[in-house]
Order: sequence, then C-alpha cells, then structure tokens
Amino acid sequence: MADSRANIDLVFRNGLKDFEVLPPSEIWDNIHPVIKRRKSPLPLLRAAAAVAVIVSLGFLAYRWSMEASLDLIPESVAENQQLPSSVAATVTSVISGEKNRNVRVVSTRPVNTEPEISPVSLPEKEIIPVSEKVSYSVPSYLLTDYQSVKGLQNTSDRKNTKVVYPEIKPVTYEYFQENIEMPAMDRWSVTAMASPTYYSQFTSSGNDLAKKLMESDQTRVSYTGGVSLAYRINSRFSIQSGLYYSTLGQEMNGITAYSGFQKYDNSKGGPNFKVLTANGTVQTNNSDIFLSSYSLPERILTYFTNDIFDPVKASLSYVSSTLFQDMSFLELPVVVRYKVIDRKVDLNLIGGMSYNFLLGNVVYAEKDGGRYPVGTTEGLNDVSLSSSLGMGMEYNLSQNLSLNLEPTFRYYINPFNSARSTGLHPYSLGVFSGLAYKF
Amino acid sequence: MSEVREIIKGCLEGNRRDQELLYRRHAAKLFVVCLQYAADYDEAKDILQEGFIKIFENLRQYKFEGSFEGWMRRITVNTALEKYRSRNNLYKVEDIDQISETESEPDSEEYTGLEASDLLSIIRELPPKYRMVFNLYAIEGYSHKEISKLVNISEGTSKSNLSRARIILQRRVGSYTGIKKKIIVNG
Repeated sequence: MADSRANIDLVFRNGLKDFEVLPPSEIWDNIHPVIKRRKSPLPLLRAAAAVAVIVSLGFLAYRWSMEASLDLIPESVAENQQLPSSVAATVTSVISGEKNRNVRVVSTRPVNTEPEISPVSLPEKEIIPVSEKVSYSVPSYLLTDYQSVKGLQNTSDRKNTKVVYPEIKPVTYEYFQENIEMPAMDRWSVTAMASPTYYSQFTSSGNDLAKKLMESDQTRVSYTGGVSLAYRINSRFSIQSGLYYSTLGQEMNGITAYSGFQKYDNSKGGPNFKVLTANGTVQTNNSDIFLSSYSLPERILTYFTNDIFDPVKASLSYVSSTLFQDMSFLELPVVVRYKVIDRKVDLNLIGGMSYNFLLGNVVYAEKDGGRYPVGTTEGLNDVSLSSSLGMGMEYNLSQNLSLNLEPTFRYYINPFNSARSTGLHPYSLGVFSGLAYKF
Repeated sequence: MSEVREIIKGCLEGNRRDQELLYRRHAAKLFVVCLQYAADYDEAKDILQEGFIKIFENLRQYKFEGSFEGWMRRITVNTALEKYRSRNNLYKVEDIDQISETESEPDSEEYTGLEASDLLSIIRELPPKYRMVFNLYAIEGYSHKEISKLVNISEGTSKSNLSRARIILQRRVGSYTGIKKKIIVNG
C-alpha cells in the first residue's frame, strides 16, 4: 500500500518533470514594462556620480589648461637681461657687432607690430643701424625716463653699441593690490537643496541572521531636503550649517500580514508580535494584526505560532506580504567647504558631520493603496551622528544666484539602533541639487 | 563565463534581449508549476507574471550556488503559496471520508500510459488543500514540518491531506487509464 502511494508520487514527479505548457503571449507584455519601471535606483545614482566626477575632472582639466596658457607668455629678455612682462618702450639703438655675436631682441605682449627676432647673427664689423621706433600701448604709470641698460652686452660690445632702454619698474603683485579696487566678497549665502537618497548598510560581523535579514530587507529610495546658511571665511573656505528633513525606509518581504486578529487576542498589554529587521526589532502596537513569515520564520517572535493559530482557518483577512519600515530625521549638519575651482562653474570639496534627531518611526503594510499600521521599531536612538563627504558643483547664474549639484556619501558613525549588536554599518548616497543666494 | 551567467548579467544591466531570452527559455516549464498550484487558468497566469517580476527584481540575490532553474522554481512556488494564502475563502473540501482507502488501485503499469497533460489535469482536479500538500511533498520534496509552516497547518493535517490526495489521485488515474483503454479498444 505504502509502496503504491510512493509510486504514485513518482509517477507525478517524473511525469511532470520535463513537461512544458506555453503561457499566453500577453504575460511577457505585462512583465516587461514593470521590470523596466522598477529598475534599481543604484545604477542611476552610480550614473549620476559618474557624471559628476567626469564633469568635475573636465573643469579641473580646463582650469589647469588655463593656468598653463598663462605660463606660456613669451620671454621678453635681451641676452643676460630679463625684462618684466608687459613692457612697453620706444627703442632706438645702433648695434654693431663682432663675428657671430648674438643679440636677442624679443618683443613681449602687448606687441602687435614687430615680429620676434631671436637670435640674430650679425656679420663681422658690420654696422647695422637700427632705427626702429616701436610703439606699444603703454599704461602711463609704467613709463619713466630712458636710460641705457647696463649688462645687456659684454664690455667689448659696448664700444660700438649704444642701447637705450627705458627704465622699467618691476610690476609687482603688490602694485595691483594697492592700486586696483577689488569687489567686495559676498560672505553669506542661503541654500535650499533636496536629494533622493539611496540608503544601505554593510555588516562586519559573521552573524548569519543579520546577513539573512540584510538579504531579505530591501532599502528604498528616500529623500532629504532643507535649507542651509553658509559663511565664507575667505575666498576658498566656507562653513555651513542648516536644517534638513530626511526619510529612510526599507521593505521587508516575506512577512505575511493578516487583519481581523483582534477578536482572538486575549492578551493584556505588550506586543503580540516582534519582527527582527536590519534596523532593529519591530514591535506591533496594532492588536488587529497577525504576522507570519514562511521564508524566515525565526525573525517573528510571538506566542501565536502557526501550530497554535492558523490565520487561514480563522478566516483572517490577508493584507500584504510586505511590511514597510519608515524613519524620519531632522538633521543639523556642520559642513566645511573648500573651493577647488573658482570660475563660472565652481568646484567644492565638502566634508562635515551631522546630528540627526529622530522624528518619525512607523511600520505599516499597504492594502489597496492605503496604509495599514503595524507598529514601531524599538530602541532607535533619539540622536545619531553621521559624517559626510561630497563634491559640489556650483554654476553661477548671476553674481548672487547659483545652481548647486552635490553628490554626497554619508556614513553613520553610530547606528540608528542602540540595541543592536549585529555589527551593521549604515551609509547613504545622495545627489543634492538646489539654489544658493549670496549676499 | 557560461551562457546562463551571460544572460543573468545582461538582465542585471537592464538588457531587454536577455530579459526576454530568460523568460522565453523558462516560462513554459514554470507555467506548468503555476498550473499545478493555481485554482484556475487565470490565477496561473497571474502567478507566472508575479513570479517572473520577482525573479527579475531579485536576480541580484542569486549567487550562482545551486541550479538557477531550481531557484526560479522556488520563487514561483512561493508566489503560488502567497496567492493561496491570500485567498480568504476556505475551499470546501470534498468529503472524502466516504472514499474507501481499500479501493482497488490500478496497476503501476497502467500509470505509464498516462501523458504529462493527463497528470496535470488530474492534479488540478484535486481540492486545493490536498493539491498544495501533494505538490509540496511529492513534487517539490518538502517535509511535513516544512509544509506545516508554509501552508500554516499542523504536521498531522499535512500528513492527512497527503494521504487523502494520494487516494483521490489513484482513483482518478484509474478512471483516466480506463477511459483511455476504452478509447483504444473502440477504435
């Protein structure tokens, strides 16, 4: 009898093993738009970060190329004599030279009339009259008395050479500092920014349950937004603080929630169910809810196990197989910004710390687009501390207004939950964007 | 890198061609699983659709340990179980106490005359509670303890349901083979 029963098991198992039935074609048509729409946000953030890095490197390269081109001003020197740049003079000289004597006469910017000559080989004993009047556009403050320049040529040359150069005052940085009025720097700025945030965590412990929880719990894209005030200490450094509101959330799949349990709930006080999650333990405060997990039963802590209470037999109403865990924070960051590039598009390095004050803590299921409350996560820290590192691009729309884009990595120094000992380290990635007003 | 790995990698990168290839290769086999568990044809379509969406969404979690087909099959079965649990109405189970457990069974040779489509039809005629336990135990290889957690029943109920499922199946197999024989004899 038993053999025949086992035999019939094998008949069905083997008989159906390779059997195939083509499903209707519309199923793939329904699947594809869904998986396309629900594409993981991580690649998008990666792409945004990559774009930010590429753009930043582009501007760095642009800045370096600009600096390099400034360094490539032609040397305006006579042999053994260095003249300051931007020199302008009227030169009248008669040069006679000896065999193979080299005289370098090189014009400097702004020169628009004479080609550069360097070096010039002069025939022996040949007197070359040079009667050139080279006019340059010269600021009046640079022009002084003319006099011969000592040391231009060696002693033997001086016998036959008379070179008259203007006396040229070296133009120094201090000169401009004293004489050019710089525009006043806008010290303060107010910035409004928002960012989608991808939150995740890694574990440093070998705790199997923690790993399983991390695998089954899916983080969701969250949002951060707020206003900050920055003070510019000097042209490069500024310090910034403000107030931000942020949300964090995750989905816990494989936990089936039923409603209608209240009539069977005879317990007084205390939660009926506790659910272990990567962010801490959720305890139910809705006595009408019944929870079970078929994929990871050990994550549900309850007296109402499946062998004691069957929700299907009890005709409880199915709500959902996914729970949502949401937290919200008020953030108080203190950030230092260092301006690497100061042009039309500025590039800043940003680093700092943030105090995060817990505002909201809720766990719920969704049914027909509405929320069905389940409970809260216990043991969450009222205040957590996070460090942040980012790179900010600032496009100046006008003198006072700029558009900001800041890819930011944030690492949470102390986890959200003080009760956990799973060695989990939360972090988040976000791309902040917004407007800044300087005054 | 094996072809399966290539296809999975392509799917993870959002390549539509690889996604469709993965679906076309496995949909027909997984649809049989859906038909085994579903209450009707429409529900089987829903299970296949939801199951494949989960497969694509959780593809990153497949660590290339064990059979990929087995991994997809588990997700499909779990989706079918969720559907089963979500149905609030309890199925009215056929009163099988009247079925004699000593009813004569067809010879095992007669089983071999049945085609896979016949076997599928026979399974689908089972009351849902029996069908669930039979599928999970006889086809998927779960233990009664595991089934009790998956279907939210006691181990005793699981054993009892399996036993009754087997009796019904044996009876129906007999009637199928009888009908087939008559058809062959008559022409």
